[in-house]
Amino acid sequence: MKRVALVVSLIALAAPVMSQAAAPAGSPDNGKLVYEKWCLPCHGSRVDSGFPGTSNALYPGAAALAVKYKGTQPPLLTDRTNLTAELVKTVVRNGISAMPRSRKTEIDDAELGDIAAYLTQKKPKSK
Amino acid sequence: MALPLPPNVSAGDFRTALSEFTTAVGAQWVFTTEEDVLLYRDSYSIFWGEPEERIASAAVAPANVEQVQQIVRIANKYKIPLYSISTGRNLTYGGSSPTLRGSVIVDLKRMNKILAVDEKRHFALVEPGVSYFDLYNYIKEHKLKVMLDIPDPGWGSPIGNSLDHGVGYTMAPFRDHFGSHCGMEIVTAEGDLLRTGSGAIPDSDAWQDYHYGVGPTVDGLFAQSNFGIVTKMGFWLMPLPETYLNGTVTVPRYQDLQAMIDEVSYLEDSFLIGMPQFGSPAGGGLFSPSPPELVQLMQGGWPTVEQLETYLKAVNKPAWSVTLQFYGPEETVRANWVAAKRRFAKAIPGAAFQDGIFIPLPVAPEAEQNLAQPIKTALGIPSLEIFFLTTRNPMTDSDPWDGHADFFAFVPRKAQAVHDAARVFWETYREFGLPAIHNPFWTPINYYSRSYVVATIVPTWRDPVKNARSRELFGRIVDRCGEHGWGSYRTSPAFQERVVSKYSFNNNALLKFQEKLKDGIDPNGILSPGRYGIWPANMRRNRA
Repeated sequence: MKRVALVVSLIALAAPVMSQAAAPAGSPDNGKLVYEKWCLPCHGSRVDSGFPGTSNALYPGAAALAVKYKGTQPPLLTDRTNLTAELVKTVVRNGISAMPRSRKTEIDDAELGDIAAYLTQKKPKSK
Repeated sequence: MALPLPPNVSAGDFRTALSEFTTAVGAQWVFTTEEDVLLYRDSYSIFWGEPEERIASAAVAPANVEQVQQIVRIANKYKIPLYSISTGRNLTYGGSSPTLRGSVIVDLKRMNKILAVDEKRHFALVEPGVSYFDLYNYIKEHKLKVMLDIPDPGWGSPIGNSLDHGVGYTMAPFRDHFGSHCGMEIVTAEGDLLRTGSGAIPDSDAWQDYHYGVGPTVDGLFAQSNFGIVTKMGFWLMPLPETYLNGTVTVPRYQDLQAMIDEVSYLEDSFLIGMPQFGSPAGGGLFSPSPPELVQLMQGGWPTVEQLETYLKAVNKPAWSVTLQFYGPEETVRANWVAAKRRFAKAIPGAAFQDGIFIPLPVAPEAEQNLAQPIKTALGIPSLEIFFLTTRNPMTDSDPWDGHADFFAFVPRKAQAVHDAARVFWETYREFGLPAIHNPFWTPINYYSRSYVVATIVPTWRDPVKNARSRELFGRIVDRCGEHGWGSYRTSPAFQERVVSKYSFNNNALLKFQEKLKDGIDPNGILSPGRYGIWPANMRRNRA
């Protein structure tokens, strides 16, 4: 139960605080691949491409964050600028709410660091 | 949280067994620390944080069949209960946690080879750690002309899903994932290796072509059971259809459902359509809030048929809809839609028709991931979009769920059975003082082509007080459905005993037979003890 409490606390802290953690050692390039395999199907979105049957929607994880943050944070994790490596690693490893935990046979510790590096890398400022 | 020891195993024997597991698979793949082992908790457990939560004692992750055999032999030596998982993503049905607390998880995720996909004979042969995402990506990468039938979450395993009688969304022969398998390889409880069907002939090239072999067919023993660890499995696939077409039929009256079912069953059993998708324009849709006018009507209790027909005239919406899905050459899918419309128009006065979408296959890359549901699953494109049922949404924003437990009652293809099951759900939720979204327009789901499931979902939490209420509600639903003769086709370990107890014909003759098999096949009772109510002789006292 302590772990759950820790995750909740980290989430609460993360929202208003910019990342001050040291740059993670992981590889953002590999992290992108791991993220796209394990995270994007729930934290991405689809768009109406004009093709029959397509439509605009956030996937469930992104939609849940949209409901949670109500516009104060972007729903897509790749648009966030306030994630810390520790937060990413804790949530991916231990899950949160309806998001299940990730075993080491699925995402090993090196890949976990890579996801954190990818999601916390500096993003170009939007114009 | 301290990790439990396996039941009836001394700490010394457990340490020795872990050491031997380490020799078998390497230290990196034996997980014994609290930090690592608790990753195998069922994130949706309805016993979360309580003494009854099914926590593992350790986990071991073999890379090949020989290592699985070694693990089983070691477990036999020390009588260690094992619990095997494929990708461990069977959320709602236990996930990666064991049925028996203290079991050692055999995590087969590392056994992730796609051994064959044949686009001429239309089959695949895979290991347990392969996910639907993996298999789909392989087929796409190699431009193979076959189509998968997939369950909702794409990170599940074709082997694990089919062994738990999982289901999909395309044509009838493929939606039944266990029914569409052809050939298994199994490590037995004593560490031997056997193959079923044609695979029992050494060097057979027809393992994925002919499934019976000769003599008794034993494949069914390895589904929803604990008689062996499946290490390879073949599946028949549908050839990639040239096109996909859908169209929707609506009917005006509440009492039209039976006639609609009869027409759908004719088309389905003639293999003219894929999975029919039922809906109700007047009722709001499955797992959606009821329209305000219907909520108001139901404040007076479950409405009569006459009240419902009056309601339909007032809201001026069709009572029922069904979206029909066609797979095949353009000429035949269009002709089958024309024939379907003719049949419905003749059978049901007031039936109306809406042309849907037409998609040449394979789906254009720019459209593939942007397809809405249920089109994406209808075309065998794996996703995780089903998690909208569980994740935070406007309906649950004030008290988001942490998980859910599903009760899917299977009923005959009769409108009255569908209505009766919906009413049982509604009455039971109200009995517990909970808001019930079920209404008289609750629709069936046609996973298995010859029966319907009528579904309800019970939330789970990280809160023992709320979970106690959810458990009581779920158990009451199981019992009430049992009184009507409706079972569930799968369930989580927390409810397997209760669900199995409804299959009690002739003084539980079926379970007794299964236990005799268990005693002969797995005399030390090391394989997944308790799964679907089958306990080894030395643990039958564990039965609830």
